[in-house]
Amino acid sequence: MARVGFALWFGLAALVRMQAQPAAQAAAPLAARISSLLPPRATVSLEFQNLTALAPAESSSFRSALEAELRTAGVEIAPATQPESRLRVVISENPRGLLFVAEATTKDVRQIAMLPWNAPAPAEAKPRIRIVQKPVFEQAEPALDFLLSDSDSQLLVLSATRIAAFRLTGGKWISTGQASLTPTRPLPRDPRGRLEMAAGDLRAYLPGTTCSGAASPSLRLTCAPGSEAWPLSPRDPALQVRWTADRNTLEADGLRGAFYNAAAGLFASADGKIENRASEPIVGAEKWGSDLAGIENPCGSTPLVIATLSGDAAASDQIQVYEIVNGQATPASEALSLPGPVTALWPAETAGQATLVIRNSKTGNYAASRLGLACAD
Amino acid sequence: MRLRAWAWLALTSLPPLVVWPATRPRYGGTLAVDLSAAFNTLDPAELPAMLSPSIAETLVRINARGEIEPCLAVSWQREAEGKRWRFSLRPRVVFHDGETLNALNTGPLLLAVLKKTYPDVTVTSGGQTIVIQSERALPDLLPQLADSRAAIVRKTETNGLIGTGPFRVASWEPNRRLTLAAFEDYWGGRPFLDSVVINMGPARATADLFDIPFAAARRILPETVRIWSSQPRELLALIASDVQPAAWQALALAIDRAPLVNVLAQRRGEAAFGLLPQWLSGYAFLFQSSPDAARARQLVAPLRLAALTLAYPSNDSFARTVADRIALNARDAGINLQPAPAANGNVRLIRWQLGSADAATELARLAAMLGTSDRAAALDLAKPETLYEAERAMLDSNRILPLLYLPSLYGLAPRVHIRETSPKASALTPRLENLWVDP
Repeated sequence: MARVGFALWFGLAALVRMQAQPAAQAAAPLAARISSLLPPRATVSLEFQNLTALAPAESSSFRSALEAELRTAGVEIAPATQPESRLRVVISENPRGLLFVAEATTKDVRQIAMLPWNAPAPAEAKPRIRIVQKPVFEQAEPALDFLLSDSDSQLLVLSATRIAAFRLTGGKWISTGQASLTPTRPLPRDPRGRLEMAAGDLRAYLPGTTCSGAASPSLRLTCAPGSEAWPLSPRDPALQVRWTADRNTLEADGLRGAFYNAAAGLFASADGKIENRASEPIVGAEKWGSDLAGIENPCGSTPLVIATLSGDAAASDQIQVYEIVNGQATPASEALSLPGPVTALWPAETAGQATLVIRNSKTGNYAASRLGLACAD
Repeated sequence: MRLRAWAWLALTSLPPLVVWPATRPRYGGTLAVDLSAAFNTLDPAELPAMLSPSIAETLVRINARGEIEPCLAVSWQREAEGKRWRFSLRPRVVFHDGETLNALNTGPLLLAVLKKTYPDVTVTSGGQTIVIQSERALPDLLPQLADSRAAIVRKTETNGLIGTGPFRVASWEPNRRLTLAAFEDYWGGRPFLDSVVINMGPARATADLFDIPFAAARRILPETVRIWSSQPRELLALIASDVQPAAWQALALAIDRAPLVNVLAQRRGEAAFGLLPQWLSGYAFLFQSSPDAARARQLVAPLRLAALTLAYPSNDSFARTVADRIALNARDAGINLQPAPAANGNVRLIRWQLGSADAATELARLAAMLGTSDRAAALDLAKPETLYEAERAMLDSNRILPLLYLPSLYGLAPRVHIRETSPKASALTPRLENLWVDP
């Protein structure tokens, strides 16, 4: 499924800066610097070293490209027996990215050339079967929630400081407006929020602040202090929840404690347990994390929940679909590995879908996608 | 409880940024911290690096990529060829005592700090805008403003440190205990912890978080303790005060760094041949060399050297073991180097901490420490050769001889979790505001 590009606006500078430049593209400029250190038509021996986690294939590709570029520049690469000059090329790195270092030694004269290069993007984990993941956008700023409308050609993105509107044009999201949010309280360090559209009314729910307005004809919002209640799932108006001010948890009338999320009568409580409304632990949910979302079952009538899986994971996270039968949770899909921790998981405004935002651990960008389910057979 | 020697640390330690639980962080609780080094002032520049930015913030800060990023200033413009800088302050920031941060109360604080570095500087304040101006260009202004010495803080008779950070000082007993409380109105979101109690003195392994200084004696830790390790950040080096260049070069050839790393530092550090560690410069391997005692003896033979003193910090058992080892290497080269716990000697063993991930700033700090600031006048991170050449020149000056780079190590109790918000988050110390604890 094709990834839809995110157009130029906030955060893009950071995004662009972090875009990968394939290492092989560094060959030409590095060869130019190296050849400037060597006598014309020099014969060199080449020693090559990779001090980074750059994949062997990419390292090898870079070396081949460099050798070709050096030959083009008139440098002859010969075996290490009595060359005119010795050349050592090292792929190194520092906090800013890759650093190519060339050390040319002619007789007893040692010269150094360096070329800083952006680090390559990490390879993304590919989703497995059953859970269908459709990437929607990616941005540097934390995305708390988003809404798609008009056959998925209109996008509203809730961030910590604004709501931004986009239209899909030529495969890219083009900005059509934005409205600043002025939370009356600082958002929690684990920022969360929910976006809701009903009968033309647009509402954003943030811990301690509720904003209301409209998306058309122009995007406008007014924020007021207080955590108003909202339906956790558009298809389950019975469970009205509200944010705990200054915290990353939810509350609901009739429930005794705060919780992170809820679905199908199950609650991810603030003390780390998955419980039902009577605070009884759910068998089979012991490995769940603190985010879950209900989703319609395309292959039957059993309630399904998409849940994050718990654990101390730096670079990845996992989600998995569970069936809820007689108060017990049973895996209904393979776990889907994600290249970063889940920062938002909500039921989507469209039946059969869920909203997922992760923070890519290596790039730091927030990647938003829609999750759907497909029957395995 | 089963105990183990800390030689086992290598198997259990965590690199920076590794703890990201899939469970969301929980609010509440008190974190008990033990720090082995006592401090008797709340001056942000004197506080341990783990504490200072959690209480006192600066206009800008340096992230783990070595980039300047906004903090109390949200944006800035460089004007008039770097002679004038215009900063926009972050709105809706309040000090711990409730006073709003604005240009009028920030300007005088900044001026007092900047005057020490730039005597002719002026600071103009209006609304949320501060203009810093000088007769000469201020190319290093941003790193200066990111330094904890430029923290925007006030003090009163009853409160020695009023900052804008995520924690406020709740109580303070110099050299004994500092208690911090969550600042509910912190602009970046209230910290997860309710409070942090920092006890100074010998660190107990029963604390939630404690530093693990490198020491001569091995430390016994409970098996459940995890280790947070920073990138190598502390340089141990020899400084020449009164040594002939040939003798210095002989000493450089005689020193074998492998035992320093493998035995004394228990493989927790890395051999230092350059001034900046490899992770920070990316080119430190270019300085690498092998010990050559025979060549060292050749250099020493014609010199008729008198005995030299190697001064190391008193009460520093690790420095003493390093000094003893260096003396052994020196003796093999025919140099009589006598370790002594003293402030001055022909040779001094120093410990130097990196303050940030900005290679240019750190090299400039080192150059200033060595009294060779001119060497660091034209550093440009976009041109790493400028850093390499400056570092090469500083090493060739026969003033400093790098030995070893050590990481900062902290023990974490099982109930402590770290929620790092970005790969750009600090790789040098854990941030208190990103810690949370199980109930």
